[in-house]
Parts: sequence; structure tokens; C-alpha cells
Amino acid sequence: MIQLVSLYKDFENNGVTTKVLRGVNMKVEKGEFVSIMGPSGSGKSTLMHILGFLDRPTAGKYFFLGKDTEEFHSDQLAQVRNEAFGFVFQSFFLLSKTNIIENVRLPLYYSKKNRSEYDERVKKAIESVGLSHRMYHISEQLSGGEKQRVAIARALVTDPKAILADEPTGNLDSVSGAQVLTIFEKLHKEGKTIILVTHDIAIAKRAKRIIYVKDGNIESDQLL
Amino acid sequence: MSIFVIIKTAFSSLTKNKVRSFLTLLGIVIGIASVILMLSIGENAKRLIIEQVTSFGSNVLFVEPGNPEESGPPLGSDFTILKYEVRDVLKKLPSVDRVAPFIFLDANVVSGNKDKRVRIVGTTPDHPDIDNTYPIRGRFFDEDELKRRTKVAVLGFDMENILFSGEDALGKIIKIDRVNFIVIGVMEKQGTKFFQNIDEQIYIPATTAQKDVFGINYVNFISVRASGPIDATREDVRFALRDALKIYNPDQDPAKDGFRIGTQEDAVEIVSAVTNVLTILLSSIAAISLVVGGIGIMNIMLVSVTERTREIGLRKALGARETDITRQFLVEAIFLTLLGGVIGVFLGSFLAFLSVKIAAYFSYSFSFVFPWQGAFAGLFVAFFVGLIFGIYPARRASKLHPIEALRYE
Repeated sequence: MIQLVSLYKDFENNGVTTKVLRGVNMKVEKGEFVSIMGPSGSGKSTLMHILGFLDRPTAGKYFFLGKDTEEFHSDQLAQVRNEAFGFVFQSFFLLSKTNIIENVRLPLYYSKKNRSEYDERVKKAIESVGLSHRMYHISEQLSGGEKQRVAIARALVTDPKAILADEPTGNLDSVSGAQVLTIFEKLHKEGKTIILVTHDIAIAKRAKRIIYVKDGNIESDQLL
Repeated sequence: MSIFVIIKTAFSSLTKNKVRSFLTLLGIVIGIASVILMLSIGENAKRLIIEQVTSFGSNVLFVEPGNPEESGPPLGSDFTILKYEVRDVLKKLPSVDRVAPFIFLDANVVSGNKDKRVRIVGTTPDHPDIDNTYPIRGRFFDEDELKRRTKVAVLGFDMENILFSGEDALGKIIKIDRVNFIVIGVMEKQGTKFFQNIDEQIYIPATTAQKDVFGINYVNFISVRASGPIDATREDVRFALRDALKIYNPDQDPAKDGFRIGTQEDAVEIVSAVTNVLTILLSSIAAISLVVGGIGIMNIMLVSVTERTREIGLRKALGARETDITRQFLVEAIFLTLLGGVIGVFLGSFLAFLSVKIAAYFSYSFSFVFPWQGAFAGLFVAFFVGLIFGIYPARRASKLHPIEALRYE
């Protein structure tokens, strides 16, 4: 599904160039549950952003579903982000003062999905993270674990090809973190592709494959 | 994203900052309200003056001293080249139907223990026909009384009350600059014209006014009613006057006659031109506040874009296109200005209504008409202010890089 060939990413800041990714090659197949691990500053988050089309590589090729994505223009990128990926961030990024339903519905507004399906999709996504009883709660009233589950529901609502999660348990206590990981495992069993970025080996081990990133390159890639 | 969702989103994000939204749209409210108010006042002033000018009828010529390019001596000045005798010359012209010379001078009028400075109008019996105003009681003086310099007076509507405290004035004696006059009529109510209260004037024969009261040999002003086409009459009157006043004008240049002949149309044109310029001027000043309001909108939208950088990043991560983000912020800006516009239209109309009431208190017959044109123009302008001042912040928001936006603290 995903293939990176000799991928580079540089950041310019005040004339200083930082080489973050230095010739990454990797493949992820449909239905995999992959952890991307590495110390902070290794480039693992940048890698995830490029995988999810939130950022573009400086050089190299990214084939998505067999297509070279180099020529994608901004509307196409928006569409891929909307349809192909669901994002889960460390700090949730929910709309404050807005209830769960509206937060989960948000990606649908930007999709080409049929409007008559909206309610059904939102209901299903909220059910799958076990928050049906709190649908009308405002996001600010929720605990951290609940917020992250809302974020997962939001990532699921467009029925994406892959879920990209960047330190999804980083802001959670261990109980809530465990709940979130259980949901990812369940989604994996249902056939979703999941790419999880973390620096915690215990969490990384919940996946079926660990890619270890160090100094902008893949140091190891092992199946569990 | 459907327009319905965009509007809903704009509404909810604006209501999250109610005080700020209100203060922001206040600029637009004030701008639109003052434009509406100025347009309404201008329109009313114009209508009022034109109404007064046209009350003379479209077939009346006004002869004033002074060349067209000069301002000429004002009414009531000590000397003009116009003489009473030209009346007879003008009356003989076949294209002229009525002629009324006017002498306007102030005099002390005494009746019993009442003593008042009053504008005296010396004229001729043709005046009521030309001015379309007649006595409600008694009669106007006639040709015979004019010739014999009879000391008769016709009171303006309010003068009866002022001099006789509501008692019947007909047949009573008044003193005008120590000369005894007998009251023979009271004019109908006419109100204020050209900032003069017509109802506080006293009419006496022009001959009496010249010889017996003021001791002058000129008139201030001559009204002429045409029996035929007004332009032909104007030329007839011009040549007759040059002849009668012995004006040497070999160039036949109307600018050098020493008098000017105007029609009601000329006056309407001048009045319209003046009031239009005035209205434009006042509205432009008011419009400046709209620009200021627009800058306020732009400022607050930029603040809003910065504050919501992460929200924008999130929306982009979830699949919002640049156009989606642009539209969202543009709709917010337009929503603000349009709401300001609606409130402004109502506030402006209310103030216009108040101004009419205040003018009515000073007995100007202003009338309030809801300024539909101004209202639509106001909303249109409000919409465009939102569009113009909203586009820059909206474009800036849409160009944000999703990752940089999400990282923003």
C-alpha cells in the first residue's frame, strides 16, 4: 500500500538546513500493524507526517497504492488525507466547546461521502470506541482517555485505509492508554492498517512489526 | 463543505467570542448607520427646498439684480438696478401674463401695545396668482389701491395672532414705521420657505412701500408669469429690461446685463446640484468610518486566524482544501459585516426618523421614508467590506501548512 524509496526531508530554519530524513526506504502492506520507534529527534514523527501527506518529502519517491504521489496538488493531497488516512495526535486536537458528534462528523464535511450516510457513520464510529453514552457531551467535559477515543472515532469515520497515530498514549494515564491500545488492536483485527509512532518500547511491542528509526534512517525493521 | 455547514461553523465560532464579535461589528454598524442618516437628511433637505421652489409653478421667471456669474446684492440690500416702473413695460409684453415686483425691507410694526420688527413685502396684486397663495380672510389689495398708494396691509397668517392675540384683525389699524395702515386681509398659512417664515410677513402695495414707508426707488426682485413658452418669454423679458433700464450691452451678453433671469427649473437644478454635492460629501465622510470598520474586521480576522492556527491545521489534516478554509473565514467576515450592516440600517433609519421629528419640531416639513435604496446599498457595501477585508486573512489561513499549524502553541 505504501512504498518509500530513498526519501529525504530537510528543514530550513534561518538559513540552517537540518537533515531529518536521509534516504528512507520502507514498505507497508494493507492490514499491517506497524510501530515506528525511535528516540526524540530521530525523525519518526516527520516520517509519519510524510506518510499521511501532512508534509512533503524534499527528495525521493512516495508510492501510495502504486501511484507516484510527487505530482499531487493541494486539493488532491486534501482528498487523500480525508479519504485514505485517519489521524490520531498526542494532544487529541478536538474542537473545544463542540460536542462529540460534531467532532467526529468534521472529516465528513470535507469528504465526498453521501450526506445521508453521515449520521450512521458517526454513530458507528462512536460505538466502536465505546462512547455511545456520551455522544452529546462537549469535548472539554471529557477525560483525556475519552478525548483520545473521540479522536480515534473521528479518524475512523471516513473509513480510511490507514490510521496514523502519533504518540496516541503520550498524554494519557496507563489505564486510559491501555484502553486506547486495545482499540487499536481491535481495529487491526478488523483489517485496518495501523501505523503507530512511539518512543516507548512497551507500546511499540503491541504492534506486529517494529521499525526503529535513528538519525533519519531506518536502523532495524523486525516482525514480532 | 456545504454552504449551510460553513454558515453554521461561522456562526458558532463568532458566538464563542460574543463581546469581541459585537465590538468588531460596531464599526460597521456606525459606518452604515451614518451613511443612511446622511443620505436621508440630504434627501429630505433636497425635497424640502425643491418643494418650495416648485411651489411657484414652472411658468414663473425670477428677475434678480446682479450678473449670473456674481452673487449679486442680497435681498434687502440698499440698492438694486431694478425699478418698479419696468412692471408696466413687462406687463405689455404679449408673452407675459402676470408681473409682481417685490420690495423686502424690515420695519417696526405697532398695534396697540405690541411692537415688533417685521419683514415688509411691497408688491402688486399679481402676487397671489404668481405665488399661488391667497388670503383666507378679507382680500388682497387691488390695482386701484396700488395706483393710489393706499395704506392697506395684508397680514401673513401668524401676524394676526402676533399683533392682535387671536382677535379679528380685519379693519384694524397698524403702524408700519409710524405710518397708519388698515388691515384688509389675512393670508393663508404657508410655513417656512428659504429659511424665512412667510407667515410672519406683512404685504403692502409696492408703491406705498417705496414712497410712504421706506423712501426708495428700486425693487429687490421681480416675479414674472409667462403666458407662453418659458424660454421665449425669458428672451422677451431680457430685451424689454435692457431697453427699459437703458442697459448698454452691445455684445448682447447675458452675463453683462446687470440682472439675471432664472426659472424654477434653474433653481431646482442649482438646489439639486448643491444638495447632491452636500449629500455626497456627508456620505463620504460617513463612508470613511466604514473603511475604518473594515480595517477593524480585517484586524480581528487576522487575530482569529492566529488564534485558531491549530484548528486550521487540524481541519487541513482532516481533509479541508484551501478553498474550504478560505470560504470558512470569508463567510465569517461577511457574516460579521452583514450583521453589522443590518443593525446599521435599522439604527440609521431610526436616527433618520428622529432627525425628521426634530426638524418637524422646528416646523420644517421633513417626512420620513424608509431609505430602501440606502438600506440595500448599505447591505451591499457591508457585504463587500466583509469580502474585501476578509479575503486577506482568509487566504492567509488557507495557506497555513498543516504540520506547522498543528505544532503551533
